[in-house]
Amino acid sequence: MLDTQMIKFKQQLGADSELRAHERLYCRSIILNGEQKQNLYSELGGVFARVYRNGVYGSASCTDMGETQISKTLLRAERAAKEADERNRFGRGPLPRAASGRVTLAQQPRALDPRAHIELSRLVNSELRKKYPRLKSVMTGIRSESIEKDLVVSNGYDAHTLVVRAYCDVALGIEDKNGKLVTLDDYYGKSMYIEDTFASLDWLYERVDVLYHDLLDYAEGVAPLAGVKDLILAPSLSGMLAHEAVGHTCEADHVLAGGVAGVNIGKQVASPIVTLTDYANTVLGNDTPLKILVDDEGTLAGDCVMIENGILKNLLHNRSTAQELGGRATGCVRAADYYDEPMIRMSNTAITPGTSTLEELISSIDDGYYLVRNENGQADTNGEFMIASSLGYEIKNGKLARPIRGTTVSGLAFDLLKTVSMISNELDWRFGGICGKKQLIENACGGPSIKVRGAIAGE
Amino acid sequence: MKLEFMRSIASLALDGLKSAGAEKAECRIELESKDESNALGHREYLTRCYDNYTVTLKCAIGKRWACVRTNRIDGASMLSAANRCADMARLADENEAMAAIKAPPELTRSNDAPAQPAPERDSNKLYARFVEFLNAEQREFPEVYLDTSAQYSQTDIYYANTEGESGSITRYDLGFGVDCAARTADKVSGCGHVFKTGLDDIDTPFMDMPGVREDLGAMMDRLDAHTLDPDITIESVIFKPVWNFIYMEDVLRILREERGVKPGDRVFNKDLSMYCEHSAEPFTDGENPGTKRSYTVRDGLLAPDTEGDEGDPAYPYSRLVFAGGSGSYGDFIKGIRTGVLVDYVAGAGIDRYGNFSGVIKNGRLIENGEVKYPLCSVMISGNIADMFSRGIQSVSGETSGEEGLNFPWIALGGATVR
Repeated sequence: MLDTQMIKFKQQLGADSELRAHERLYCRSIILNGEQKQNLYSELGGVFARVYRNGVYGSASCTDMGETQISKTLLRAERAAKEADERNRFGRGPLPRAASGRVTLAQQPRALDPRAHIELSRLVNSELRKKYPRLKSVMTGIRSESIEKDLVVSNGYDAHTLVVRAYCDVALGIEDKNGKLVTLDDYYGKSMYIEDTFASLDWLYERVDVLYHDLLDYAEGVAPLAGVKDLILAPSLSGMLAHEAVGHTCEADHVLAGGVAGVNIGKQVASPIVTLTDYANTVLGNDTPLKILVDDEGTLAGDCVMIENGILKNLLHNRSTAQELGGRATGCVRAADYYDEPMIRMSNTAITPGTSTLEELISSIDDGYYLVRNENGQADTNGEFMIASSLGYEIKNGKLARPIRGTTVSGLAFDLLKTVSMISNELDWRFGGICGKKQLIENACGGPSIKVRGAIAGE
Repeated sequence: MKLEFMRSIASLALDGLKSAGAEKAECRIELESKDESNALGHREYLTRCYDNYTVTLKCAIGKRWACVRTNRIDGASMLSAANRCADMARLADENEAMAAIKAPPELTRSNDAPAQPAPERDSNKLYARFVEFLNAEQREFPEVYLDTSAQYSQTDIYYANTEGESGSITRYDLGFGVDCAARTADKVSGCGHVFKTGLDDIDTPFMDMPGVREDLGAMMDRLDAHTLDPDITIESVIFKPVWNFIYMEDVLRILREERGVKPGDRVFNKDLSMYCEHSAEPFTDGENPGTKRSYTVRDGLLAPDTEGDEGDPAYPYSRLVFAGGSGSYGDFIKGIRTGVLVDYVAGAGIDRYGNFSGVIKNGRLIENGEVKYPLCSVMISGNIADMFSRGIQSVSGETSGEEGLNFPWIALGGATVR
């Protein structure tokens, strides 16, 4: 928990300056078949200062959170900004004035208890091995983290914020018909401390039960036929498409680095039924999984509608790119650790749900696939993407048929989005993932199921 | 002064761990000091500098480890971290499943590379070079946009354990890296990567460093990438050398764990060796600590497993060498009939048994010993363990890599590319 209050240093800030105390606590225990495999606790914190001068930033950070060192760090950042300005002479002037105010902590930070992680991971592991005797391998990991930030700025909102989340990672393994061990994994968690997230384990076991039954199907799975097919992407895959293939291309720093979205603003990039948004705090009247009140530049967080009715409308901006490219900063700038500069990051990214039921999507396909579970996904600044799916099902004459395993969907995101013909009325989030854009940072993505026509790998 | 301070912190931590009941313990302290400048498009946008401590404590009680990382380096915090670490290890050991574990854990120690000479630290000169590079890049390649940085970093490391071993080392990194994409009004190429690390000096203009201008030019070529002609059968796949290292870890795991390959069994179909060259463990105070070599594969045969017990911290390999190839990169390419040079594979990763599939990124066709046009929308699938254990066709003597991981180009058969 942070000891020093940053508000004390407010008077020392020059124009367009930020000072952030930042601490990340992390704890993880992993049990594999009863045996402790990982047992880790980490507490890393420090102070970061950043100063903007005429189109360029200078920044500095330090581990020591003593008052003298904090003041020195701020001076280092000011000097770095001055030197960078003199080197480049962009002459952009100061950043536009932003709304100002102060946001205080909504809940008090607590310590993370390693004992609770070890005991819980052991308990869940033991319960799952008892409940499912057919399993040959059970891995359970309990991880939790709390990220506390105390930000003061000269232009914008000061904010003392806390993001907390706790998760259970589960990987189950059984033997398939050839005697080979096959595994499926998933993670389940909430934006709460471990004691609150796992106060009851019923919800966890219910979800693991779905994983177990998916694993039974997975073990019987066949390879899909490669080619261009009618596909249904379940929320986990549509969310990954929204985040990896569309969201990243719409980040203004990627656009400055040559990304495809820059030449497509105002153009039709998706089917008219597609609206895609990075949500800040609420979505369709409910809280988002990852609530961001104020970002690390001191901007109040708001939604950014990237695609509206198929038209590419907005990029995700920080204040500098908004000034440079002509846009609006929507409070989407975050730093992963205390020594990191705030970067443009998505928070909760999803396609807006439609009006169809999942059953209607399935019954509309004569010959295609329903891809249910995702693995990893990647995309480049061109929007060329690949999303791996561990488990799916054939669709034959409007009905689900044999399970399939191990395929990938690939293509150009904007091409694929133009083929979206139906969107389900559900909204399911995946939260607990880590986005790896230079700094590893928490994020959520999800959405409805979508019907597309795209290329998948297979036999 | 810095070393004295680190030594005193480590001593405090180890005493704390022993008092808390730790049977074995180790402490690694890192002080990373960095000057870095970043650019987007064609211009500098942020510089940053920092001096950050990280302390990693690891201790064993009975048969299990616990690990605590902290950067609170005052005495009270260090003792608190030591107590926490010992409590975690004790609790982990109080578990029935531990009865099945026979051996107590081993110390991780360290396999850091020996110290290198310190490059000049002059951040103003470094940043001026960087801006000069950005201006040159905009002049010569206005349609190639960058996401790039240049940095000087220095990491002081101190290590000590309860068996009386201790040592220190300083690592330096002077380099720059470029992610880039070419963009015209209606086209965007895939992204590419240029990374130059371990520079000896900052007097050479970055643009004049070997390969930089060529790599930036290649981004323009990618605007006109082709799909693969279906009539061409690809006989050889050549990954960027760093991937040979990354994949090798999977290959060895699969061979050991899934295929039951034992030390002394043949791993590759050619007499190649892979070894780690690191300083004497843990590394010693003073100059020229000396090196030792740990083989993973020797003359194509699997060497005894030298990996330590699981658990954090797992220190990175350094100075990993893949030996046995011959000839220059140019000679190597001349020997390829039909192949694809693969920058990287965007894909599902490698499954437990080595199967993988994905999209080849920034690929280039090789025909009759010549590198031809850039490729797009090409899928690859295969089994990575089969490709490396049975499918090595040729290996270059020339190597390429970063951060001490220098690997050769390897022509591999056994993949389906279409």
